[in-house]
Amino acid sequence: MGIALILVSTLAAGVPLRLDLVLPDHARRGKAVPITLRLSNPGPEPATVYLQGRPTAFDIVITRADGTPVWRRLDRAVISSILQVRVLPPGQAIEFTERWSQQDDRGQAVPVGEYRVTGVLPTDPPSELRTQTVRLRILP
Amino acid sequence: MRTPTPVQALAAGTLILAAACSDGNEPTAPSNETPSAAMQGANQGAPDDPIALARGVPGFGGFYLDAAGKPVVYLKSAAHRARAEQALTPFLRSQGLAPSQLRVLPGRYDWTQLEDWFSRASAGVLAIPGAVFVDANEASNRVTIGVQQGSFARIRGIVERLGIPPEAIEFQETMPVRLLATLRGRVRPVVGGLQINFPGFLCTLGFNAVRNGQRSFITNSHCTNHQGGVESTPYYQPSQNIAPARVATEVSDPVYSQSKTGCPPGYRCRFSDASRAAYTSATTSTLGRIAKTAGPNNGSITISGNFNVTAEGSASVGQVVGKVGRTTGWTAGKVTNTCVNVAVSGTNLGQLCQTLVSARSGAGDSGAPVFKGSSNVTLVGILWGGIVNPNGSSTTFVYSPMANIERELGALTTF
Repeated sequence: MGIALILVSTLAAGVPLRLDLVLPDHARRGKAVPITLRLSNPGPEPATVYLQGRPTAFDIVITRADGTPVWRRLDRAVISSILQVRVLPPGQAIEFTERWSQQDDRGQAVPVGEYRVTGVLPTDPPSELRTQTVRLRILP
Repeated sequence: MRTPTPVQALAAGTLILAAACSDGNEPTAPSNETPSAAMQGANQGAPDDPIALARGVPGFGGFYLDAAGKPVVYLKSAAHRARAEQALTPFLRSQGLAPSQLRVLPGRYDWTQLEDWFSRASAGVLAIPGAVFVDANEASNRVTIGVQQGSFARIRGIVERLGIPPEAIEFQETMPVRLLATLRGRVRPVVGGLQINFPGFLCTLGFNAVRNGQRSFITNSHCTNHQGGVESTPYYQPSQNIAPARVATEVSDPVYSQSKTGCPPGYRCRFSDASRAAYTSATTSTLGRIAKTAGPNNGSITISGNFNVTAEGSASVGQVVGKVGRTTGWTAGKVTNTCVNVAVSGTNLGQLCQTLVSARSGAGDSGAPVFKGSSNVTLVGILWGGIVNPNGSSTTFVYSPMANIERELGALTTF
C-alpha cells in the first residue's frame, strides 16, 4: 500500500495540523479502493479545528493523469451548512474514510490506467485543507 | 484625553464659549528660566505622554500639536514656559522637535481643574440620552461635551447644575458612537442573522418568533444536539467562550419520520430543517429584526443596521431572495427550484419540498433567515444547506420555506 503523508496547512495560529491521504498505490480493476483522509495534530498543544457539515463533509477528487476530472465524492452533494468546532488533542487524529468503486461521475467503470487522487477538507470558509496529489494505478 | 473628531461645532456664539473667554493667543518667546530641582523631580511622566510629563508644571492647562505639527502648550502664566519646555523635552525630542519651538497659549484653567470637571461631567451627563462624549480637551483648555443633534439644551441644563463654570465647557454636535459589531459578535437585543453556538457547533439564528406567548428563535433542526427530537440544547450568542450565559434552550424539534409522503425508502423525512428555542428571561430580543450588513454579495459581516420583517410569504422561481448568515453575510440570488425533495449528504435524512437559490453560503450559515426585499422584508424561510458544484464550489443554497416551518413547529408570530 502506498501512503502519502503530507503536511498541508495551519488552521489555528501557530498550530500545525496535518492532513494525510492514505490509499494503496495500485488496485485491480473493479476492486473498490479504500481511501482515508486523516487529520492529525502532531504539535504539543491542543488545536482547534473547524469542520463543515454534520456529518463532517470531506471530499475525494480523482482525475486522470492529465487532470481530466473522473470522480468527486461531493459532486452535487447537499451539505448542511453547519460549522463544527473540535479540539484535537496533541497526537490525536480524526479519520474520514471512503471506498472508490472505480466508477466515474456518470457511474461508468473507469479503464485501466493511472489516476491522481487529492483529499479536501472544507473548513471555516473560504478555507479548506487540501492534500498533495497522490498517484493511483488501476491494473488489469 | 484625546478628543474624538467633532462632526460639527454647534452655533459658535452660544456654544464655543471657550474662545470668547480665552486670553490673547499670542505665543511667547522661549525662555532661559531654569527649572528648579524640585520641579524636575515632579515631572516623571512617560516620555510618550506629554500630558503626564507636563501636569506638574504650575498652571499647565493642556498640550497638543497644531495643524502644522508645531507643539503648543496652555499655561496660566507664561512665566513657567521654561518649566514646560523642560518637562516636555522628552516628548518633543522623540518627535524631532526642539523645546524652543514650543508655543505658549494663555490658559484659563489648569489641568487639575479640567480633570475634576471632566469627571463630574462624565458622571453627570454620559448616561443622558444624546450625550456622546466628555473630554478634558488639551487642545482648547476646556471640557468638551459631544452631543447629538437636538440634545444640546437638555445636556446644557444638566451641566449647569453640576457646578462647573459654564465658560469652561464647550459643546460640539456629533454623531453617536457605534461599535462596529459583526454577525459573529455579541449583540443585544438578539436579532436574526447572528452567530449562535451550541456545544461543539456554530450556526446562525434564523429569526425571532413568539409561540404561545413564549419568546423564541428559530434555527435549524440540525443545529440542535440531535437532529429531530428535543434534547434541551443550550444556546449561546455568539459563543459560550465569549458570552458564557445561556441565551436560549431548545423546546421544539419534531422527529424525522419515514411515513412522510414523498420520503424515499430507507429515509426519514421532514418538511423543514427547523427547530425552536425559548429565550431565557435575562436575554433581550427584538421581534421582526434581522441584522443587516452593508450590501448583498460583498462578503461583509459587519452589521450596519437591520432588516425589518413586515410579512411572511413564499418565493417563486425567478424571484430574488437574500439571506444573512454568520459566515458569508448577506448574499442574494434568484430562486431556481421550489418544492424539491432533497437527500442530505452522508445521512438517511430527507428534506421534502425545499427551495433552491442561486447564491453563496458557507459552513456556519445554517439557520440563516431567508427573505425577499432589502429593507422591509418578507420572511420566506431559513437556510440549511448548500449544493457542491462539480468544481467543488457552492453557489446554490437550500432553504426550508416558512409554510413548512409553521406546518411543523406551529403558527409563529414573527413581526
